[in-house]
Amino acid sequence: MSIEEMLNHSPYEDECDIKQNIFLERLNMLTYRHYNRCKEYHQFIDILHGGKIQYESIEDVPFLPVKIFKKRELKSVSDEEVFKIMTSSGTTGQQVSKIFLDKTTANNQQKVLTRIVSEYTGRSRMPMIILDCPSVLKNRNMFSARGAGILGFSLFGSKKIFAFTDDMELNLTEIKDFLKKYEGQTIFLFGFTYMIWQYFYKKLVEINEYLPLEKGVLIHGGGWKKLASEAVSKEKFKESLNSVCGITSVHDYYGMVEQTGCIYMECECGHLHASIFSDVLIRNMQDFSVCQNGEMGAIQVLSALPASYPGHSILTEDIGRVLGEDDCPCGRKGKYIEIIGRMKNAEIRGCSDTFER
Amino acid sequence: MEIVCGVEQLNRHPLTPYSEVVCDFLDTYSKALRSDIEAKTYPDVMTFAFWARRGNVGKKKEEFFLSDIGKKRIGRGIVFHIAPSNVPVNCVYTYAFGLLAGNSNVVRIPTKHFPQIDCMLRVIEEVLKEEAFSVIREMTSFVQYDRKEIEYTEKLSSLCDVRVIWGGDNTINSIRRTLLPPRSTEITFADRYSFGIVSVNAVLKMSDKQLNELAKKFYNDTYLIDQNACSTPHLICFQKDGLSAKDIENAKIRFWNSIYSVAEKYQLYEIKASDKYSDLCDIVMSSDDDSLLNGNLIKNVKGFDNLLYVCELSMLPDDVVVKCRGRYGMFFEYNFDKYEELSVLSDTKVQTCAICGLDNNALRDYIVKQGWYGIDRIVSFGSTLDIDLIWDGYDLIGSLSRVIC
Repeated sequence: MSIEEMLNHSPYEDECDIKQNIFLERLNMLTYRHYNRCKEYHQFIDILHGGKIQYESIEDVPFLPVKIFKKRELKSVSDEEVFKIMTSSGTTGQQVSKIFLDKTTANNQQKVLTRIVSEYTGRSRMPMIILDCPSVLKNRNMFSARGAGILGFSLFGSKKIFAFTDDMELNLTEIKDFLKKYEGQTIFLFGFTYMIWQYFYKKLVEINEYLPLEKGVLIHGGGWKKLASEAVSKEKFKESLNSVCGITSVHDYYGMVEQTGCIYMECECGHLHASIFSDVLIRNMQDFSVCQNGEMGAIQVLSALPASYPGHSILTEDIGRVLGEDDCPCGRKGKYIEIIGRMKNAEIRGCSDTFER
Repeated sequence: MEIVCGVEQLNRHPLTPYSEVVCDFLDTYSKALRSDIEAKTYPDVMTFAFWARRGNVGKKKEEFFLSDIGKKRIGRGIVFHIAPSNVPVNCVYTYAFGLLAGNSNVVRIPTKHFPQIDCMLRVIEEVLKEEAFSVIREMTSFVQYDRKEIEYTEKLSSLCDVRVIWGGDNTINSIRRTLLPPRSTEITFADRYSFGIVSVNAVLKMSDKQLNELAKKFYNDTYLIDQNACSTPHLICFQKDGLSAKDIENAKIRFWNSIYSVAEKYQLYEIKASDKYSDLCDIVMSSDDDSLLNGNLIKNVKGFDNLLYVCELSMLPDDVVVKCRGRYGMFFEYNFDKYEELSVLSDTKVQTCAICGLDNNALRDYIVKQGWYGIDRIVSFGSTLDIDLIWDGYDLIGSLSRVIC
């Protein structure tokens, strides 16, 4: 089934057996495609999987480690077909993932993102506050994860403003004017979890200011690593935001630059949902066996979208668990998951002066 | 700069190698460590204590004085040691090497905190209080300063007769920017690569029990330190001994199975499993562009769940010391007939060759005859990590002393 056909389905309507068939067929198609177009992937399949490219079950589809996109430039299209290159937002000096997109894959990512998000926000566009600074969108040739997220979600905005200056100061007067102008309407807010906490919530507390966002819908992502170190839980995050702007509709999402578009949105019950465009398996790192629902392990993400690079099946370095499938009280079908966090750093023994990878 | 242990102003008064007072001191220190409640909790400290006892040092001394030139040696004066930042006990080994050669020693210890170092220096300080060792006290100075404070590196370098730098390459390059006095010499321990050679015939002849013993030694050489040391093997070359392909395969399966069963005790943390799988995927994506085969560098991979990965090489690439490195239990294997097929390992980066079922002397003779510039050590499995007075191709007593002929 093509992405176009899949787009005719609502992202959360298909139950397990229907979804598995459609999804597996798509994954096999992608494995076949990358095997024939990406030399490195071809060798990976030949050497580690005996050249097998058609699988009977989603669990058997080979997966690449997420770090491989930092070590190698993997693509299944010619250089001319590369439309844009997305990079993960690493700090200076760190290696970043490089993801090569052709026009089709980039378009599909946007379409799927729109489909998924509109399940939570409705289809119409809304006045939008971007909880970030304008400079993050500069340099359009190299899209960082942060910039790509903002651009992707901007499609839901009719009128847009940035909440912060490039020095990460809150544009308080501008936001107030904006809210006055669109009083009574649903306001869409988007940003990265840590920045919302650091530069929006903390600032509002500091200056003792309340913003009327009772009708706001906030979508945020980027992970909890920094907030966990400040002992800020999901619940505390929501309560705190509510106290400074009255917002009640707050949705976290899980996603990564290696599988842009296929995000896992947090529903009203606090669960992150896989859509029909993606799936999740939890693996035991001792032997890569698949964990039972409820059991913790490494998260493997599968996506129907990556056609220009072999990223349809990726083993992440995040730890999580599947909470259930097709039976979330919110009514959405598919698997719903919980992210526990990143794999813990382990002390490496020996003399690490020998070699730095 | 902080003086952590010993004196600020060293007495520059060289002794002969293995002088009585130094051997006494090391033996007393060894005893003190072995009876110290805290020290006993650190296996690496106990290994040092065992090494420093009279029984061990005395044997080396005897051997040393068998040669006429040994009797004509004296220490050079002051040795400035830059200890490695991640192997805590090496700062005391290098100090002991300096003393045994007859020198006064200023040792820069890492700024990163290690309880082993605190403990070992505390015990040294106690032993140095003894009247009999006042002479050693004047030859001892452990200092600590940030590596960015190069004025101290400059000062200590200007005063020393030998500078000893425990690498890696980056540290060596940065310290080398600081000049030494013209007469002073330098010993550097750079980043190295190590591998092993296993005779197929020997593996086939071993009993299960013997093979298990070998596997335990192999484990200590590799998994025990996450395959992260200069002398840990990354590549195992199987010598075919004229046997059939089937026999060779059987021997290899037997060998790796026994490693796998011993490795079960290894704690494979999730992040290490992840890094190891990334390394594996990365290497299988490599091509051996230079070879006539023009195929994959890796022929096949034996996977023993995630504990052990074995990648069979279709050839030894020219950059084997860079490319064929494993972590946390990932190895490369290669079958060969004659040593000449291993010529890419004639590389100055190659340090230790661990052997099983081979004649140590025959291999050394081959290396000498062919004029290889790699391989400084040929040892049995289980001994790759044993640091000693001959290390990295240096005879340290010789390098840290001078000869009056």
